[in-house]
Amino acid sequence: MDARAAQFAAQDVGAVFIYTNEAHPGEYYPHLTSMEQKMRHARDLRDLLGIRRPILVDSLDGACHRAFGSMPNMSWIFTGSGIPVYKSDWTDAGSIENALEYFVGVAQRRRTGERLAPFRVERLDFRDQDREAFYDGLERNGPKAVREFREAFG
Amino acid sequence: MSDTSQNASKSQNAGEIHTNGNDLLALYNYDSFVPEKFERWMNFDASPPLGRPAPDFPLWQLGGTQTSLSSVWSRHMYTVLEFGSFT
Repeated sequence: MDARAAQFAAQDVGAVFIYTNEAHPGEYYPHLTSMEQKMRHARDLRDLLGIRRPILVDSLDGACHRAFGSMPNMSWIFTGSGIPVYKSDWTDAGSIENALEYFVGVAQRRRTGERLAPFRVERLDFRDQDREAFYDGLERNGPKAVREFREAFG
Repeated sequence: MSDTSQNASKSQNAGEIHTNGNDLLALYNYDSFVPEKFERWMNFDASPPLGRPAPDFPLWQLGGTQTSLSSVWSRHMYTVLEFGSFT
């Protein structure tokens, strides 16, 4: 996702990561009980996992996250006036890239004088399902996170 | 900082969750990934619709400075928001 952010930055597309609750709390990264802890975990996301996009932290009760559906790794695209034009219950760089190419194209068409009206579309996208990499990520959180995910989904 | 953020977010979500603030904090920040604790939060089907103005919320920079969702989306023609955590 950082690469996609860099790819579209010159076309006036911003990208931000919003820090939520811990989806898979473990011994090393337990559930959150304070904003100070939430800030610390967010800084580790930046420093240890190398997220280069700006990270903003939601309130401890997840007001923003909950209002938009509370999915653990969802993505949204907003216009500059706060209109959501894309929402996905999972973050997939390919899906985001595809959407941004379309929306940047819409802006270019409007600049050339085309009259465009919005309409709604639903689409089912597909993501890689790399279970091994996912479990590697869970191990960073602690054995509890691995055990609980196996018990929930096998 | 934590008091400010909690108070701000409570006022933005009045009536959304019928529980007191402490219960909400504990329920949202669940301590175990078990279905009875995480499934209640997965409400994507009830999320705001596309094409209509989205609600605004306070957010915090890593240094503690308060900002807002609207100040984020207003900086660019389009803005991608990814929600997530370390875990």
